[in-house]
Amino acid sequence: MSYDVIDPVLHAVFDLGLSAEEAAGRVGISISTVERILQMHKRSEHKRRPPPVLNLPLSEILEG
Amino acid sequence: MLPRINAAKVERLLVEALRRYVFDEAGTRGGVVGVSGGVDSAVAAVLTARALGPENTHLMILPSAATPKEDLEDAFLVVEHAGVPRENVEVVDIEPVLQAFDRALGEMTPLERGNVAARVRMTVLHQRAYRKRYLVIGSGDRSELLIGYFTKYGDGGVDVLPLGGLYKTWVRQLALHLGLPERIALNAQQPTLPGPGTRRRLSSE
Repeated sequence: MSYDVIDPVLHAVFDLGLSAEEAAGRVGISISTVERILQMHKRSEHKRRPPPVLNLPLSEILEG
Repeated sequence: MLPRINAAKVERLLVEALRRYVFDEAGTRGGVVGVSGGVDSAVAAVLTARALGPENTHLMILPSAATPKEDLEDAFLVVEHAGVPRENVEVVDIEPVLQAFDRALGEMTPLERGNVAARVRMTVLHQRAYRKRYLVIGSGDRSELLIGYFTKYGDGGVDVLPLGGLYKTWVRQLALHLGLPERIALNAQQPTLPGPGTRRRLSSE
């Protein structure tokens, strides 16, 4: 897939706030292509965040 | 469909913002940029030199055995274009480091090896940055960040992403504005899903 397709879709969804359907219409491509791009975004969410610290309440983990 | 940017204005704003971040906010003395021959690192290198001064810009070319000869040639073209002094350019072959990983871990798939290569490059860039009290200036663009087309803690393991707000299409426009050669600016590198045929950039978990 080329950035000539990816970039207008990302712009439509993330800058203009359009839905997948609206983005497909605006860019003139199939909704399945838009969904594939959005799937890549969703599945890479963990890569854009600092590692979460799994904090445990002290009251639960201290002995005695 | 995708509006165009005012490249001259983007250049000016990014140069100001990068200068402020590196010198004032981080209190560091310059920037290290890894130059691959691709359009993103080409623009990052030129912008860094303009923002921080060529004398405070350290450019590193870090090929492995998987690096195509043309990419290496393009990387040298970028270095020339950035106008940094000769002593600020380093070429380090990371293949022996990767072979050490091969020996320690056993045979890797090309995708696994590509991700290790990205993290080796990250380590090399930070070593030089630490020594010189510089920051590692990243090359990732908004398209790559949004779809996850980067190696976490590899090319993603940088101190600042000056191009992180620009789509690839806009980075190409900026590259042409900065006077970079068309073969670099318009280099049709495409994000490939992991699998055979994945060539120069790989994504990882």
